[in-house]
Amino acid sequence: MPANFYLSANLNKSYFTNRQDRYLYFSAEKTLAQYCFDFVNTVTKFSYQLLPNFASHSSRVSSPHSYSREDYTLNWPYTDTHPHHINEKAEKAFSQLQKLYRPPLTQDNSRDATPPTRNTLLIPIIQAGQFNIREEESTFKLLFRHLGKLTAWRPMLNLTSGYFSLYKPYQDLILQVPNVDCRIMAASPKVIFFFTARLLLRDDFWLGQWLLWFTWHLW
Amino acid sequence: MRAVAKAGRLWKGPENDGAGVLLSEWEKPGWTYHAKGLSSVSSGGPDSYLKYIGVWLSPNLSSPPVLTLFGSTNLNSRSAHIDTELSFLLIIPSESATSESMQARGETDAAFLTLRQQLDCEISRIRSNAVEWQGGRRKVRWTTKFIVWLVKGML
Repeated sequence: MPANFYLSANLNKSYFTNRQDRYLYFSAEKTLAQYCFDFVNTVTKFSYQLLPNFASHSSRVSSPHSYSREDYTLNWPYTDTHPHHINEKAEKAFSQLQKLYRPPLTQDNSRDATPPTRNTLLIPIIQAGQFNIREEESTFKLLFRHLGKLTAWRPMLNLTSGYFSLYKPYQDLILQVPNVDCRIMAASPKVIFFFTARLLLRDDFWLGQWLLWFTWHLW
Repeated sequence: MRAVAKAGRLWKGPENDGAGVLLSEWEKPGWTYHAKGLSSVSSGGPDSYLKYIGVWLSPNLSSPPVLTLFGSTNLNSRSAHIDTELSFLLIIPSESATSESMQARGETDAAFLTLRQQLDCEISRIRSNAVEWQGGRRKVRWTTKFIVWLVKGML
């Protein structure tokens, strides 16, 4: 298992050509590598498996929700669960994964937020609303609640949101906690692909209109 | 911008020495922001791409960050409700543990500071292409607003 790896956005070809992405390089971090490996395995549990459509694989095609086309089979691993009804299974699987890697709060360390040895902390956060896993939202709420209590401080939050509108509850937290300053960067229409494509450049095209409204007017 | 004004949080002062909520737009000639895999259909379009979504928290405006959020999240409604996103919160202490020796503490503190300064460079780089927020000046039809309202949870 590799212990050195990059964490970034996607790994498709376009991401390695004339791009500026946010890459963070971690070396000799076996626990992090193991976590990422376990995350992929967790998602695999409720994902279709792509198999070659050979007779030898027919025994592995176990569910009525599997189907074959030409020379491949998409195999659904459960006979008792429809692919549209995986919410409970997924919630349980993600919760177990997080519980495994997150040390439980004891009575002692729950009172004192300062860890016994100071080191850089890396905390995995899963946000999967469909599966009732909302750690990102909880993190934002906890962070702003904590920062709001630091009346002697003037924390500064920098945030980049691309061309998407920032999630409304996060907007509300930023606006409601007065002692936290915030600089937010969104993409200008000039650097959004849909606008730079000549066919769609017209302002009255509905997609352009949608982007204008959704990204820049909700603030 | 109206929501920021209504909350009384409009940024006051220069960008690097002010307070409040500052909205900016990122713009760079020949670049596009967060275009996922669209380069094959971009003839005559941009040459370079930026995908830079994250959060950086500093103790104050003049200090380098002590916390950053990075990962697959787009911090939008779709990421919150529909997609499955894996992100990481990186927290860097502002100083090492007092139980360490003086020499070890010096080395550790220097490493922490280097990491924080690198995160600070990220902010400077991305903000070097910031332009004034134009959101409130752009005209949008009411039909568009209605459609967006209908599908807002998916965006």
